[in-house]
Amino acid sequence: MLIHRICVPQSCDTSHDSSIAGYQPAIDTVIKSCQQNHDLAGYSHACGSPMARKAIASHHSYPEVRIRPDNVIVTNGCSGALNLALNALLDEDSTVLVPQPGFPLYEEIAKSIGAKVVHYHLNPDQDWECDMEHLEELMTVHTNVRTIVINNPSSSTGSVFSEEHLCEIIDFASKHHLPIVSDEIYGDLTFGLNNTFYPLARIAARHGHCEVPVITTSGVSKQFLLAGWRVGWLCFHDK
Amino acid sequence: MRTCTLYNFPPPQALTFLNASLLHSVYGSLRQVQAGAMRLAQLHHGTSSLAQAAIPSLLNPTSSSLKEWKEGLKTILKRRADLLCSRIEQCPGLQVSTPQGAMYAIVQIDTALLGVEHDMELAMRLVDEENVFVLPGSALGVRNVFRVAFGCPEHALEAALRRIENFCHRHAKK
Repeated sequence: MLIHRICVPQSCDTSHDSSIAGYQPAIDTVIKSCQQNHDLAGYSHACGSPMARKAIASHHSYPEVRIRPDNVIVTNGCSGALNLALNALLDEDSTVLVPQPGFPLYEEIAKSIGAKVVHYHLNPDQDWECDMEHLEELMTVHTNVRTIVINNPSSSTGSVFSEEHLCEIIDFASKHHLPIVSDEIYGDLTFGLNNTFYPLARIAARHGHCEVPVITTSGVSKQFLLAGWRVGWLCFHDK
Repeated sequence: MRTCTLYNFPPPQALTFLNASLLHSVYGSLRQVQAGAMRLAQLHHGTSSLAQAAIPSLLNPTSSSLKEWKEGLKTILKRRADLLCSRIEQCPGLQVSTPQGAMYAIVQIDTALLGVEHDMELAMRLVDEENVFVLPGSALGVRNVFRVAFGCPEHALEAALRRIENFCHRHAKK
């Protein structure tokens, strides 16, 4: 039987959707750079070019908390950022909390390191927010929990966490001394009334929880429809 | 050597590349993890220098053209999300939470009403009968839901939703 994958492609590679083009000025910048800036044919710093790191640091700095370019690593897509963050955080004796439903890569990376993966539920009756009761239960059962991964906006459910819910997550992390890996690949790609994206690191600072370390991962794949460029980054918010 | 551990750091993996002591304070507790990540970055050597050249323009907060482009993208995605929700509402046995962002939505399945055992069976029967593929929730660790992506062209989304609706009307128990 011939299957026509004519609709609802699960890879959601919008670069194949000709009705939406990537951000053209960025494309023009690369074309012009290719033609005029021969330095770009050479190696850049392993953590990213100074210009890129400066722009990313500025983007992820807020009135409540600022980071420096050396708190930024440019990576091979947001997947590369997650890979780097989890490899630096985890080892074979550690446990990571990942959302369910969630992006399968979190588990794949963790398992490749030999770490234990524990899934926490998202609550379908509360717009797929993190089930905080379940999270507390998990912390009574599992040991050596090294970090929790949060994905907002969610790549599985399309939910966008409110500021209040982000505060609950931060309170949880503070209580259990957990750093947070905040996968924010969709950034401010929200729509509809009252759906606002809040960077988790900003909310942590705003609500007096600067002691909660946050590693933010993001990139250009979804927000700018440039998935094939493989540009991502991670930022360390850690006062 | 005094050790003050607020968080479970540093993990041995990060220390593989470091000769750092275990001394760290309440603040800066990610310092050694960051240093470890930077050392690990040398194994991958980042991304294309050329692609990085576009980052300042992509993150320019004062660019009116960028704001306009993003608002246009959000408008398109909202339109598709609304289309998805309005059509799923017409499907007996399915229920969707309105997406608030990104490009995906989770649809809950009333397996009893539709006469299926679980999400995998629904997904396979949709392929067999309607040539429509949805991601069964079991692939994401949640049963009796499926995920749809609406970052595809609208004509494809319309066609898929029409076929899903046909399937539901055909199979829903009266």
